[in-house]
Amino acid sequence: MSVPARPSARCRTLFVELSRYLDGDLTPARRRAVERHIKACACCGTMAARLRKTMAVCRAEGTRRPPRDVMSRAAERIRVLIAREGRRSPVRSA
Amino acid sequence: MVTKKGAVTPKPRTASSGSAVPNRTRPTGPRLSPVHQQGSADRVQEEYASLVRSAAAGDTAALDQLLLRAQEVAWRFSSSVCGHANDAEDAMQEALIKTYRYVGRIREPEAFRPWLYRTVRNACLMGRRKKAGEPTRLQSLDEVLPRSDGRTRPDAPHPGKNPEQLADNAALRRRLRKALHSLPAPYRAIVFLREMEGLSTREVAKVMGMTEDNVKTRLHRARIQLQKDLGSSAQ
Repeated sequence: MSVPARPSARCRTLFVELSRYLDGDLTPARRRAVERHIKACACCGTMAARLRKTMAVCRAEGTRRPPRDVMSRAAERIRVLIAREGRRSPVRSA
Repeated sequence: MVTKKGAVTPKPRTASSGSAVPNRTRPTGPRLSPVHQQGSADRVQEEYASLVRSAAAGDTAALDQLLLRAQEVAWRFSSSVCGHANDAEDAMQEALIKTYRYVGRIREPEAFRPWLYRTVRNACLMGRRKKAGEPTRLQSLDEVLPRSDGRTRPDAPHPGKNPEQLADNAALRRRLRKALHSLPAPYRAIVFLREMEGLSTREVAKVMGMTEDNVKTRLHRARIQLQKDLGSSAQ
């Protein structure tokens, strides 16, 4: 896919809307306008696809879980807290 | 949402109720749905709210479940935002302790997640202030956006190297983590909250203490920067 050396004024205007478009955050009229443009413009179409992929990679990363040693230390700290404060009911109203 | 003089007056827990330990036998309560796998953000929010209400009423199984979930969330956020592993762990633990202490005073259970993230973020910031000489990255992301004259910047993404050409594997994830940590902290936090944890723009704005428009603008700039970093690291 060829990428123009210099984005047009329309590309620059649309560029700032790409994230909102990908988030479904544009009005129907703007969404249609963006869709028409990225279908016709190699530069913006490529950028939209890259951003979509970047977002997907980020979302996949969001499922990490803490390492066991981190969880163990946190649990121990809470155990100590409960032993120290449990008797005086820490969640009672102030 | 959480005040010194909270409106909720839960039943006090006793020492024997001290089962709020995340890594003991997994609680029998309902598992929460991962945002990006099953449910909508609204459903996750309601699940948290339900746990908060039950925990505030003295349900120790619900408190266990809430702490377990909060631990994972707080660790992911703190390890993304704090930058140092030890600081991240401290921030996570502080958030858990606050959850344990204040769960009975949360007046808006639906806003638990934003409260938790804000707590972690504040803990990270406090930890950072205590450290002298920690490097900070303050440059603007404006540099990665196209110039007003339309010319691309010298470090703009190379058209031949982009994430689509990368395999979705561990190497890519490592590059993503590196790219995330190259972002200024507020941008990193916004990406984490919006992309990885699935918070709404409004919730992110609450956590970060900024307007929704500001969140959207920064998120867009951060995405551009991440895309650039991932693209330039491709072979």
